Amino acid sequence: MKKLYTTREYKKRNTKRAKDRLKRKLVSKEKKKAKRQAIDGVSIIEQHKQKEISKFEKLKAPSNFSFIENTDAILSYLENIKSHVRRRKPVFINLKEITNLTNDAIVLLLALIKNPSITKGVTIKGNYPRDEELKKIFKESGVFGANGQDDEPKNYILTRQNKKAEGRIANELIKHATKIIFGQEARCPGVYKALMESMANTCYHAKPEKIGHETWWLTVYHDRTLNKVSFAFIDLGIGIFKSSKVANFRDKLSKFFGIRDNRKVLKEIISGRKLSRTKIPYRGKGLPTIYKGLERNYYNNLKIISNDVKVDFGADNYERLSKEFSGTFIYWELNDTNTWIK
Amino acid sequence: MDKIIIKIAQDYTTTPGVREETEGDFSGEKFLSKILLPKFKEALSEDKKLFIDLDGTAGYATSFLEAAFGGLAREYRGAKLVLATLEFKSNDDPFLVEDITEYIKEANNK
Repeated sequence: MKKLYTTREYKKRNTKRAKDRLKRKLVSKEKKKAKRQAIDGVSIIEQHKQKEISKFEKLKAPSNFSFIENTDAILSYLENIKSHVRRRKPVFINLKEITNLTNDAIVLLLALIKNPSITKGVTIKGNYPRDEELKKIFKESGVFGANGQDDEPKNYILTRQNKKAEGRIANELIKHATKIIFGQEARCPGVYKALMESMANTCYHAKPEKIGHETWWLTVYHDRTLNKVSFAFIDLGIGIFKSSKVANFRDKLSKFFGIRDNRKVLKEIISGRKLSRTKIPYRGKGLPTIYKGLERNYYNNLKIISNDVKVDFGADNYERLSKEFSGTFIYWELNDTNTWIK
Repeated sequence: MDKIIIKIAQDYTTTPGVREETEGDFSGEKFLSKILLPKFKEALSEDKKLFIDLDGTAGYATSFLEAAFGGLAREYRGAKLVLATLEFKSNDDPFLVEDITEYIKEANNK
C-alpha cells in the first residue's frame, strides 16, 4: 500500500468524501423514489403531457375572466402573455380556477392567440375551467382548438373572423341569434347595421393605409338564464382614438377647446355635430350610428372599450382605463324587447 | 307621374356591404355606379320619379347608404334635384329615409 493512503490527512479527506457521496446517493434515491411515486399509476401519455407542460410558463388567469367587468385585470393578464411571447417563452393559459367567464374575454383571447403577428410562432396552450358550465362554453369557442368556423350547431357560442365587412356573416349570425331569442329566423336591420359598421371600422381604424389587412373577431353567445344573445366584436388594431379619422377630429378639439381627454372626445363624436358643444364636424358616421342603435331600441347594453376609454352607453358611464388597450372592442345584447322583423 | 323602380333586395343584394368594394362585397359605390346612377339618369331623361324600395334586405350600413345616395348628390353637385327625383319605401326600418335624406343634404358639405 502506498504510504499516501495511510496518512492521517488522506484518511480524513477520504472519509469526508465517502460521507458526502453516501449523502448525495441517499438524497438522489429519495428523489427517485418520490418521482416514481408521483408518476405511479399515471399513463405514459399523461406523463409526456405533463413533461411538455412543465416547459411552459404557466399564467394563472384572473378568476373573474370578463373583459367588461374586470377590464384592467384582463388587460394586465394579456400584457403578461404578450411579454412572455416577446421573450419567446411558450405560455400556458391556466383557466382552471376561473369562476366567471363572459364571451367578450373569449373573443379577446381568440384575437390574441390566433394572431400569428402577435404569437410569432411561440406556442400558447391552455386548460379548461374546472367549472363544467364554463368549460362547455370554452370548448365550443375553439380557443384552444379548431377556430369554430364549422357548421356544427353550437349550444352556447359562435365565433367568426374575417378581414372584410361581410354581410353574409352578419346575416348568418343574426339568423342564429333571432332563432334563439324570438323562436324563428328573423331580421334585425339595426344589429346588421352595427355589425357592418364594426367590420368597416376595423378596415379603416386599424391601419388606414392597409385596408382589409386587420382581422376582426366576433362571438355571439346565448345566455340561457337571461334569454339574451350578446355580440362581442374585437380587432387588435390601433384603436379608435389613434385612427386617422378620429385623430384629426381630436386634434381640432384639443387646439380650439383644449379637449384632450378621450372620454370627452367620444362624447363629442356620438352626440353628433348638431348637438355638440364644439360644433366641430366629425366626418365618421360609424360610431354615431352604433350609438343611435341603442336609442332606436335595436339592441341594449352597448359598451365600447378602446385605447384608454371604456364606455357603458346604457349607464352613461365613461371610464378612463389605467391600462391601454390597443384595439377596439364593441359589445351589445339582443333580447325579446328589441326591434325585429320577419 | 310614372316611376322607375329599384328594389334593392331583388335588383342588387339582400346583404348590402359597406362603402367600397375593397372593404367587402356589394358596396355602396358599386350600387351607385351599376344601378342607382343609370336609373337616376333614365328617370331624369324621361321626367319620372325614381322609387327606391329599401325593404327585404338584412339591413344597411351607414357607409353603404352614404356612398350610394350621398354619392349621387355629389355626382349632381347638390341635394335639391336628387331629393326631388327620389322616393323611398322603408317599412322594415322607418328611420332609414330620414338618415338617407340627411346624407344627401350633407353630401356636398365635405
